[in-house]
Amino acid sequence: MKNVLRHPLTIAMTALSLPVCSLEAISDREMADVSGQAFITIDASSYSDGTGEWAGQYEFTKVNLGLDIETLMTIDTLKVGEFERTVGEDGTVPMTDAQGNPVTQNGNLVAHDADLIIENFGLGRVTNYKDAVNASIEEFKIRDPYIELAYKVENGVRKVAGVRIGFSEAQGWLSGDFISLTGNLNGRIEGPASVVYDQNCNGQGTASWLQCIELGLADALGTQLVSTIDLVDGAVGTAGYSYGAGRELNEDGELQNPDSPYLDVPYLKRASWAGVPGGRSFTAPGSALEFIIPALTGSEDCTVTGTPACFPLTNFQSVYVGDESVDFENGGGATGAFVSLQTTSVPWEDFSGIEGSDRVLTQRGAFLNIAKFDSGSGVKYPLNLDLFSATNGTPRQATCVGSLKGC
Amino acid sequence: MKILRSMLITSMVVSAAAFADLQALDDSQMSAATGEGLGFALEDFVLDTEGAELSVTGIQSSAGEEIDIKWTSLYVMGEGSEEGSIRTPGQIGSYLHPYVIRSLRGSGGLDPNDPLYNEKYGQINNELALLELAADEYQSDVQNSATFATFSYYQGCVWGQPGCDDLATVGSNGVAVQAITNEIDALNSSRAQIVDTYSLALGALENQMNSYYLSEIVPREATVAQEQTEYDAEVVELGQRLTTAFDAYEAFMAINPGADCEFGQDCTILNASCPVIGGGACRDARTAYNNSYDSYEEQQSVRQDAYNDLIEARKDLAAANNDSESFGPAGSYIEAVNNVEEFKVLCGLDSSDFGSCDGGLITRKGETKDGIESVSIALASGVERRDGLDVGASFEFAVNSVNPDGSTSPRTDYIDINMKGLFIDGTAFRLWSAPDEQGDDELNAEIRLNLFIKELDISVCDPSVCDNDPVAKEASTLNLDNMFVSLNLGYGEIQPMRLSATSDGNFEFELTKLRPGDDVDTSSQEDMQAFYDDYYENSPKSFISISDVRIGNSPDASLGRITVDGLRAQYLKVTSRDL
Repeated sequence: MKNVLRHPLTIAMTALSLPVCSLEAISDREMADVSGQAFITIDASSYSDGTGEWAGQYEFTKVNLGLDIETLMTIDTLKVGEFERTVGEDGTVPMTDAQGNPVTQNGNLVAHDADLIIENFGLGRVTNYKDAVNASIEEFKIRDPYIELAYKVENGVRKVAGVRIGFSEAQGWLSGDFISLTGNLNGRIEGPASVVYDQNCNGQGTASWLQCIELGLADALGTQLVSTIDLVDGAVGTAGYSYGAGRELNEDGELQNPDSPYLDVPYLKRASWAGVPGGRSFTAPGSALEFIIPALTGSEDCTVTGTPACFPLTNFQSVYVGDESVDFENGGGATGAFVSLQTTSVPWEDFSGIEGSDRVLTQRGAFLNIAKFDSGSGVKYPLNLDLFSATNGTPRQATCVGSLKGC
Repeated sequence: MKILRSMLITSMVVSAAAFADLQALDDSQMSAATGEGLGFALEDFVLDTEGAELSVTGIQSSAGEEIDIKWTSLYVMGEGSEEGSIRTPGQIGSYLHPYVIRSLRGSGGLDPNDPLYNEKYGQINNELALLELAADEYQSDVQNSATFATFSYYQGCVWGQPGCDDLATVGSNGVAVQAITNEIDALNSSRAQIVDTYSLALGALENQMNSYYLSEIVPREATVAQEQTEYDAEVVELGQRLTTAFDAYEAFMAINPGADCEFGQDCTILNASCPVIGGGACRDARTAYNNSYDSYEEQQSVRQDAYNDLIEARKDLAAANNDSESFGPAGSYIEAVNNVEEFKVLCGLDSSDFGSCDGGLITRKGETKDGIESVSIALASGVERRDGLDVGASFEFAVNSVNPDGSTSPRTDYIDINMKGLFIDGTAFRLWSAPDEQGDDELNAEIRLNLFIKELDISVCDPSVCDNDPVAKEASTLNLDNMFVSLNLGYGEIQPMRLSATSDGNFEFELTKLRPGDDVDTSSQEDMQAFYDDYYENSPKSFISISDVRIGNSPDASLGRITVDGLRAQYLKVTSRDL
């Protein structure tokens, strides 16, 4: 006979309920439909194919929890990885004010004091938040969270190299004042060519007359401009200004951002700006001007033909994790999101589902991965902006009744 | 009905004997009951499994393979046991500070001046009886682990350990006091910056913002929503017409496979002729395709127009949100919203005046500073903190490790956990029964968990290697200093915690959505807002902090502090499921 309640925790929960719940007997037929519940599994794996600082023998133990979680949760301050970093080392970017002016102490650039600083963090949102009678909760949904430990084996000695907490699927609004981020925050920005034309032609802006003619043509054809956005260095006037991490290559395999000081780091540390990194262009997929647009819209010094292309993260206090147009039960949840802490470099397995993705390369410190993922119907981004509001910002999603935040 | 009289006992054996004294309680005695219960303490307590092993079964891998888990050691001793190697007696509660199990009434509905009123039970109705299991409690800030843990977090080291016992670093101007003072100064500076931005009073500014929101933002948001709906509908229509055109093309090509026109081209008698005789169906199919493709192209234009309208509406909304002159020198509507919200975070959600700051983060940090100052001054004057417990456990996991090529290799994982200086004072579990939405009785609960561990060490090194090489073990051990977890789940009857099991064998845990009491008019905006504000101001939040995370004891290997400050679940439902 199969056990109705096999797991000890389930038994404990049921026992707690015994004095007050009206238990009902189940029939043999119902009994036959019930199998032992196993909401915990443990997986072990190893990895030794890395290169550079990720070379060597890694071992992983992943504890999977079979849980469905719905919540509206807030945290006043979330701070992880509060230790000393030097600006310029390992991709650490300078701290800035809201206008992008670098902050200095004794004449030296300084970084934020922690890898992750999020104030007024929230999962989920309150709709009708100004209407205390009718306000309601829209939950953040999580399925099958997991905790994974990474070990590095050196000279026969195993040590803890990192720990991460992630979710198989997650969907809903994630809000916060993103003061300092370390990791991946992927986004997509789009808008009609008319926005770039309006801001740069019509007697204003910096575009040349030839660029204005081409932009005007693109506008007339209803061309849509699209680019991806990442964390960037927003410190005006510094060596890394406007650059993101890694190497941007053009179609010929040449470096688009040869002057970037962040060519050899996998991600920026303690960033507080996002945008179209220096060297990256907009594209116009499917347009007759597909091959002209990139040449017209290369990002340089946080501008694209005069249009601002970078913005402080605090402009956007809410991002939607998952695919808003698809229900959670029908696959609308994002995959691959996690937060981790490493004592040394760790190549975590990539669960984003994107073709060709293998490992998320992380280094010492904290890491937040709110990255693009494959929803099954294409690649989706957690941050979706349009050209009109990107540099000005949009209001935060409320996490309280009566106010947007602070409860 | 039985009465459990307060008593102190020094061992579980005596504890068992104490139950023999239970006496029946009549109704009149019951009505006068004010919290009798059983108090107990375990003095000079030592638990050591001394080599005994326990196997844990039933856990599998995702591939369905059984994981062999061995619990190879467990010890609970007094602080200073050197990871269980020195049999140091530990104290679990004491005569003056016992653990208790008691039944008592809630204080909800009582006058706060009533001698029977107790704030801890203020959200549970006086007509309800609850069962409480509580750990020891201390009034002294040095002995109270919640206060002491907060002091330790700001002090930045484990007080009492070598290098962290200098009396010059404590006192009224000690390291921790200065650190929290700097934090409060920064908050006050942010507050001053906001206050200086506006010449209007907060109430007047909010009125102005509300009227701007209603007149300028709401209509534009409605327009964007309308244009978005229309655009989405046109996109759907475009897709349908494309499908129709493609189906028509395929139907035509099935009849006339020799036609030399591609999908998207006009099929004519020149490139896709049909037989003059008997070609009616062919001509009809050709016409159907041409018409449907024309229809698709027309829809492209309609879709583009809808897109342009949507873009214009979005631009208009963005302009209204970001018009830098909306609020004079104070800037745009969005800037005003951000500033007002930030002020309320700092000074309380019910703030009505820029000049006062009686709640919010600044007040909370001020209270925290009072506690830290009290601990710091007491330590400087020679007050000593009591010892806690040392708790440790070791496990072995026999697993099949999946290699990058998909093959598997057997592997044994080891986890050795040592907690040095563990305290749980202030912890309490409260259980009561109350009717659910259907009127059936359900188990409700409230948890106040305080867990403070001065040092938590986790080693994953193979004991056969590391037990013989202390240096290697030290260098590979993960150390967490001053780990403090203050978990507060449930807020009386307003937000009880519910535990249940589903009929298919899964468990369900829920922190319910807020439940206004009978005294709240749920149709009144003012009453409901006051209800929410009261909950936000008074229901306890949760905190997690670690003052240092590092591998080994090298400062270069430090990952610094971890802080989760002010966590609250306004709603949480967790349901287990079969993986």
